[in-house]
Amino acid sequence: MNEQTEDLRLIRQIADRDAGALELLYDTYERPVYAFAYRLLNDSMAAEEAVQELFMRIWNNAERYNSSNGKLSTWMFALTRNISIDMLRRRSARAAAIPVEDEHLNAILDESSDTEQTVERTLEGERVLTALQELGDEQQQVIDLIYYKGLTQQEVSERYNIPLGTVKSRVRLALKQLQKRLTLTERGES
Amino acid sequence: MSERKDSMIDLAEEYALGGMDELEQAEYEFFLSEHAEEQQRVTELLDTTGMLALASKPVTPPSGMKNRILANVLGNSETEMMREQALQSIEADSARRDVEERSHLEETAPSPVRAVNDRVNSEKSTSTATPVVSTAKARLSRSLWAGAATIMAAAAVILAIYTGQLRSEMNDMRSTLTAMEQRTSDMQQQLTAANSPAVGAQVDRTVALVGSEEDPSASGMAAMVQDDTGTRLVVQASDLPKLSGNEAYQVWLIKGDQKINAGTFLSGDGKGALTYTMEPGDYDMVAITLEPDAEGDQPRGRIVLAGALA
Repeated sequence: MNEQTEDLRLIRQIADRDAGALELLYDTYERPVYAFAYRLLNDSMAAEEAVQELFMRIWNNAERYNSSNGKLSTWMFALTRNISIDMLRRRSARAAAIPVEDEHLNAILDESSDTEQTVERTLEGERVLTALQELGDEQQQVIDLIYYKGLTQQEVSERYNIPLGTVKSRVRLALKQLQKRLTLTERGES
Repeated sequence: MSERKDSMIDLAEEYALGGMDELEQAEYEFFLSEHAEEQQRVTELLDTTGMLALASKPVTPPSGMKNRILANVLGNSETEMMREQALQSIEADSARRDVEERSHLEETAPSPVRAVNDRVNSEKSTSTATPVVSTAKARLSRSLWAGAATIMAAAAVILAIYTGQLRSEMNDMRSTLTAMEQRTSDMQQQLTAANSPAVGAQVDRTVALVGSEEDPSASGMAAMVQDDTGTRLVVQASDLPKLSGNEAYQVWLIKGDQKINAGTFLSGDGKGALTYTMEPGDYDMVAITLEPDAEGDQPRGRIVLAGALA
């Protein structure tokens, strides 16, 4: 059974209030969603709070997931990002947030990840990281500011004194390049 | 292909990365709902941005996080069910007690006027007992008569003052009663007007409300209806996310930066509706937000449904 089929089966069971299925989904995604929330919030307690809110929403609204709108992991990461950015905005912590570049000071390397799934995810993460690093500096910057730090395009334009049209064109180009590189590496054509 | 469609198609990457503000995002989602052919491309872009999450450095979750989270999520779920059951039970008890108390009061309680008279009569009977005692002791001393007369005079003065106060209170109560009767009459007139069939009602326009990225299955409709009483916004929504705690849905008419509160509704079964008598004008969009409570006069929560009016 592939990952997406398994995810679909779990989310349907969760919609039927199957607590065991929720635990299985939790085990599958705990590490990537926690690492993502930690990257966005840079605070272990806040990251745990975000993960809890994510699974609370999944438990209460699992029937709302629509597989035609993307993979379950896409939905879960989008929810995690929305929750984390809401938390950042509420706490006005963005100004005090430590830049992502310094994050390694706080990150603890996960040495206990020995499951096949975790290894696969780590490899996939490295593939995405490589594709990101191959983008131009300006494209990496808009992705970092918008996706990881939760700024809107308008805020990027105002804070960094970049014309809004330029921000938008950088976003468009960055996503197109990223999609192309990821597609190529997935096919093994890099 | 229209210019609008061209320009909206160009926004797919911006939407997928998540850098649009709420209004832009709602407009784009509305566009997507009308152009299913764009959905596949957007889904692929969303999967690409979703992968960006995996580029985060691995971090070991805190010890015991799994137990805490699952206990909270599943525990809250049970607590919520128990709370709802308890609330239903309390409401049923309260309703039963109200009925019992009302019937008991109808049988036994005196009217306010009778209560006042009873109090006056009670005071009178107490005060009239005094001369009887005084008369019995009059034989002992004339000075006692004088004392008793003084006490009686004082009692009469106090009684007169007290009766005056009671009369004043009764007058106040009558005034309140008159005001309440007037208010009831006004409300009945309003109710009658509201229940009367609308005269010459015309649907000015209808707009489909589209679920946000987080709530793709939510749907709804907004209509602007004009009749002889003015313009009304009629909003209906279904498949809404379940509310918890004090959460409520609020409807907003948005024009530029201005967000006008068009009402609040609660939804127990994912459905909701309201009407709002609105000021006619050119609005950009109508949106339904999920709010932490029903108290906000500006949106604080996220948009669940939106539709463009511009």
